Amino acid sequence: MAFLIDKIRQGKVWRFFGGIRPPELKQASASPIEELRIPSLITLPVERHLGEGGELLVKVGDQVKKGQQLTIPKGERLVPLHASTSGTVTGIGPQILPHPSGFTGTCITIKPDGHDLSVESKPLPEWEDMEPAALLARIREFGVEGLGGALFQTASKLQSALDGPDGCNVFIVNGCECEPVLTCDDRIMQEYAADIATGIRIIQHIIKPQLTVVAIEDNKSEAIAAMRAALEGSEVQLRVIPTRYPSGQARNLIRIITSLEIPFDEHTAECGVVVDNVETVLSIKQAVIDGVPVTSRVITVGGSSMGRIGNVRIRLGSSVRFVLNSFHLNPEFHQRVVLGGPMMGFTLPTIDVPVTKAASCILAPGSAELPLRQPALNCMRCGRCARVCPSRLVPYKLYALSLHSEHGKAQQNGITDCTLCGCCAFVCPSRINLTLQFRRERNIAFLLQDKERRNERALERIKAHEEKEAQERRKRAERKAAALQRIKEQGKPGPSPRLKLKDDSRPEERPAREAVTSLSETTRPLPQEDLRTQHSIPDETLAARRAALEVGGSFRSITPPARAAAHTTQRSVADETASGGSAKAQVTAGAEAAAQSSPRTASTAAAANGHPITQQEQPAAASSGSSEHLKSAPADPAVTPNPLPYALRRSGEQKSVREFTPWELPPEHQAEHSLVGLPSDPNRLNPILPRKPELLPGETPKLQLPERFKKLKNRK
Amino acid sequence: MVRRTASPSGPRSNLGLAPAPHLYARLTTGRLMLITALCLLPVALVQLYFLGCGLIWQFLIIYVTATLCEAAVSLLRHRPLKQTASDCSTLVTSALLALTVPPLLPWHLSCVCAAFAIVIVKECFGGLGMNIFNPAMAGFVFLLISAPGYMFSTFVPPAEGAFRIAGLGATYEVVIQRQDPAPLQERLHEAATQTDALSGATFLEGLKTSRKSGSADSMVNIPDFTTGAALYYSAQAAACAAGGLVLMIMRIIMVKMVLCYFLAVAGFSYLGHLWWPGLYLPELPTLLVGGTALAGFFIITDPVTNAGTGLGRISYAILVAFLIVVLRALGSYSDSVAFAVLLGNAAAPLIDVLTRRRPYGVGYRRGELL
Repeated sequence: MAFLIDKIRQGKVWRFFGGIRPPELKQASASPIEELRIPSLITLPVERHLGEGGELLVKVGDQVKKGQQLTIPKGERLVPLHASTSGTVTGIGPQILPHPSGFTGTCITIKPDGHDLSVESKPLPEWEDMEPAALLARIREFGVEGLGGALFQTASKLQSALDGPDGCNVFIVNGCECEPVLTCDDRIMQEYAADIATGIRIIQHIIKPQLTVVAIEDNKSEAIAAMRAALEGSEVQLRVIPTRYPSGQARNLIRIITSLEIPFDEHTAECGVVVDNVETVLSIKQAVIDGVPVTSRVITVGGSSMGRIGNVRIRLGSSVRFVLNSFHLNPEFHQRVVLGGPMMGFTLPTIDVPVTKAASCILAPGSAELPLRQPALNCMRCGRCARVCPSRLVPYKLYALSLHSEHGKAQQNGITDCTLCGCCAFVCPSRINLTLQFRRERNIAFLLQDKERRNERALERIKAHEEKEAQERRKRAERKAAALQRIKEQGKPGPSPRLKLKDDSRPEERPAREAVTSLSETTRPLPQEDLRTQHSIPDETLAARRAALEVGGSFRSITPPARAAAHTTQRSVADETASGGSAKAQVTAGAEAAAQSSPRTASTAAAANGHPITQQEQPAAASSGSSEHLKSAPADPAVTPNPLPYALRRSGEQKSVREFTPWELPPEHQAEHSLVGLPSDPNRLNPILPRKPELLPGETPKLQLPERFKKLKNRK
Repeated sequence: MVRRTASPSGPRSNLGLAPAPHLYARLTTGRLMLITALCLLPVALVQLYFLGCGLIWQFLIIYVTATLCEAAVSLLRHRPLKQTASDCSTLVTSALLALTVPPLLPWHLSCVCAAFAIVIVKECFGGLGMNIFNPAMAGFVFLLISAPGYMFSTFVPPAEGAFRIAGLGATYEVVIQRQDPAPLQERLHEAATQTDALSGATFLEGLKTSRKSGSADSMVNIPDFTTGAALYYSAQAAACAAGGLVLMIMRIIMVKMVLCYFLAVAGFSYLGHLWWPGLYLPELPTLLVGGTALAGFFIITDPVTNAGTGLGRISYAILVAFLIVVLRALGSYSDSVAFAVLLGNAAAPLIDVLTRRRPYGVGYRRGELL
């Protein structure tokens, strides 16, 4: 196929499968782009500009200027956010986002001061001498994203075209604007044709394509004339393509210009074809040459309920309400306000949402202009949907599968290829909203794929863990064998020094043990091995810990030995406290005796009695990290047995419960201690506990049958 | 990240909410069916002219019965009556049925046939869009199998100006009052200006007897298609073509499918006649007689019962064409269109499976541009 690029160069135009010709409704193409005054409030959603671990550069009360950077995003895929006017940051918190479900997300709210001061622009007239990497960094830094609606980050798209196996072959500037009503790209091409031509030169400089094509649908004669004049003398080709929805979608446009069908699981940029919207090209020019970040975008305001219609350059973060007011909305009963065009836009649940870079149109249609959808009839398999689907799907079949929850079969039939362009729902004579069902099914498909991926990851983790354990076991066995071998060679039969130490410790613990036993006959003696080398936490202990968290105490206030004590001696100690402590002296004596020989054992034993460990008993070695604690805790020479549950219930007494430093604990517990101080999350207590699955952003919750259906189901 | 929706916390929105797309084409199911029914009008006029006014009574009886059945079923299924009535599919089914049954059929048989078509064939499978078999054709076959004597005795010979002899009154007596149709048939027979090979009870009936004796080629010496019964067949085919053309222009039926169907009928009958002239008719009579033309434009194009995608529909049309030609030569009934269509319907799901569409982007290789 060595001649395909030549064929493209000759100006051949291919045809994509399917597509429709909806009414164009582009009345606003004659109205020039206007500016609106500064809105009374600017709301900028930041989550897209932060990522996981991004950094906010402002705080509430800060003065910002127009074009000032507000975030440092984490990851290459995201761009920073810039203030769209000067003013004061009055809030950073959850606000309603422009989303069909009215989700909330973190936003920066700016109260404009009205002066609209901007930071100094950093023009770069010598851009032609710059390296592509530097230009890409600049494009990213100035917040350029795909303004066609997909918000794919332009710099990373260009970067992946550069990194692709065969570089960039064809660069297509998308001026199709196939969606009805939208005229913003049309007006931009009419008014900024020269700037767009410069932007094209910048991108050509970066990715060095073999061929550059500007594609415009044949219903925009003025834009075609303007672009033709601007591209005069350059190598860039202007391609006038037939008007057909959705020719503006990247894959369809690539098919029209290059005859290639790039599968949906490949990135078009990596395949050597880069498609960029005209407004994106314009913002690249503004970012690179003028040094102005993206703080506004052009949108179309249309619909028969508007007092007037037009195209407007709007500051990002202005509310939809502000735009509607400026264009004198005269609402009807249950007025629909559509963000986006009539084919792919969604109705807003509230108009107090900000305009973002993704918005290209605000449409307030009257019900005479765009009538409401009639209730659906049965599908009669007329096949119109299959004839118009640009993704070559068979929508009526997919719809039937999706209705019957055949998710696997729906995936086999290519539900993930659906671009939700709405052609099938447009032509359906039975008025079935296929697109709605496909949006749902697509989300389910992505959810299932995600779950599968996670399952695989979990299995890998488990496998790696098991391998590691087996390796450790093997190493231990080898060491043991080697040690035995050594002993044998030395000819000294008998226990190893380590074992001897263990034996030595036993008699010293005995007093404490006796003390415990003497407290009450009903108490079972504590299993000492458990106390020292306790690696598994009994259920009761967990319960105690959780109780501690519930009453608001910190995790640190209860220590594993104390916990163990709590669950063994709880009742008996409580009894003893009631009767008065004749055994106190014994306990203290026992504990002190133990403390002289081994501090650790002593504290263990003392705690085993439900006895708070006071300052005197605290070993000096243990207090290295707790000097503040020592100051704050009042010295309490009077020794009182303090049953743990009681202590837990009374926060005042919690202070007297001794804080253990992590090194005193077995490694597992140390790990747990490192979590202490975080907001109390009961699921964090035991890392093995299954965590509640979180709902992903795109995830659909599992369908719950309403009660009446359940009843019907049970009736049979 | 905790996500909350606006509605529980904020005030209830009074904005209208609707899922995308907010635009849609004007064509609806009801309008589509109505256009199809209107396109059947030329065929009905031709039948009125050549076969008399029995058609009007048949249509009325069948339409009323079908509508009542449909209403009863939707009441039983708790469906809104208005929605059931809004798709005019019953109108199309009854029009097709009325055009295919003999014009002098007694009314109770028409009722039974209509009820069978609607209740058993259509609604028992789930209503419009769910039926496997074409209701009109299934109703016709039901009648043909269960009451063959009536079917044979109530056919009328085509005669020019038959509506003058078999007017509304005369056919009322036969169809509604169930009088003997023989005198009326006799008068129509006399009215037929020219008595030739085609002026039997029906041409296909004569053909059946002649092909049983292996002498179908003696039947094909048709002088021309401008007189008598032959004129009826050519006029009916032309009327079907006129209606079908409208449907094709309005993009209601697939042009490729119809073309493939007629080409396949012509091709198969040409081959058949070439090899077994005693059994098969040549291509032109096969295209004109019986319900070949009606089937090509109005029956196999029924979206519900044929295959889904373009390729599937074309395969389905070719299969039906093949069955029509073969069954006409070898079947024991005089006409084969209804049987061929039903067999094709039964094969449609299989065709759907076999003609799977190529997914998007299959065959793409990297580096194809260079």
